[in-house]
Amino acid sequence: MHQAARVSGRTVFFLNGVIVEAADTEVLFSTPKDSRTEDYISGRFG
Amino acid sequence: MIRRKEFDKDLEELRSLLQQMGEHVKDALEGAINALQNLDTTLAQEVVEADLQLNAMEDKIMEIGSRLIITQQPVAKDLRRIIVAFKISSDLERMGDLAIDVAKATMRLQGQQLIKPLVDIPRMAEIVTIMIDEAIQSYLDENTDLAYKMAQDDDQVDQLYGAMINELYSYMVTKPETVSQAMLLTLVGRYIERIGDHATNIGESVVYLVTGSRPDLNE
Repeated sequence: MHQAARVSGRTVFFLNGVIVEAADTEVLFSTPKDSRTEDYISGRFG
Repeated sequence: MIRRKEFDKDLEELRSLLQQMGEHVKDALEGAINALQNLDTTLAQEVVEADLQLNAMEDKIMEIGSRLIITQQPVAKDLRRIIVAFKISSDLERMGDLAIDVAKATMRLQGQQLIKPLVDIPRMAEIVTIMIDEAIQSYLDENTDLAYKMAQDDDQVDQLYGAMINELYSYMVTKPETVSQAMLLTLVGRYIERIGDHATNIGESVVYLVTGSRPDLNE
């Protein structure tokens, strides 16, 4: 996951085959809109 | 998930340390104001000496926060929690220093009598103490409404400060022998007003923590 944050300009978060959120990498890793995205990137599940 | 548990435990310790720092600053301000009102230099000295504990808590916050960044590479709100802990601890440490400046002013007044009963200074300190409580509570509850309310409290402190300066200026003009003490009391007012500004900064940090963007509440 941190590799994605380092090398990509855009990041998409998929959960169970569904796109939950797509955003510029900096936005997705700083202020994600969906709480599932925040929970995943913060290590609360997965 | 073990890592997450450890992480949450450290975040909780950061919260607890910030709460303790807030309590310490309130005690320091209360002590400094009591010392000034009663020209009690012993109490003023105690306030100065207690500052070491505040600095130690700030160092501990830096240590825990740095370790979390290195080992956990936090993102999103987790990262903001740590950034905000650094920022708030720095504000609180500065607030403690300003309370010490008030205590040191009392030491310089040793052997003198107050040129007038203190009215505005204790009133300002009272409002600023409420602001410190609000700052810490808004941080603990992540309550942005409380953060915005503090900006209104700060306006009251600024108004009192303005009125106090005008009054002391009159003293200096009509009774030149009071200039030295009136200058010192003006500085004390400034120190307390600055403590209020730092409390407002904490409110800004809370808004940043919750929303990811930083407002200016000190306008």
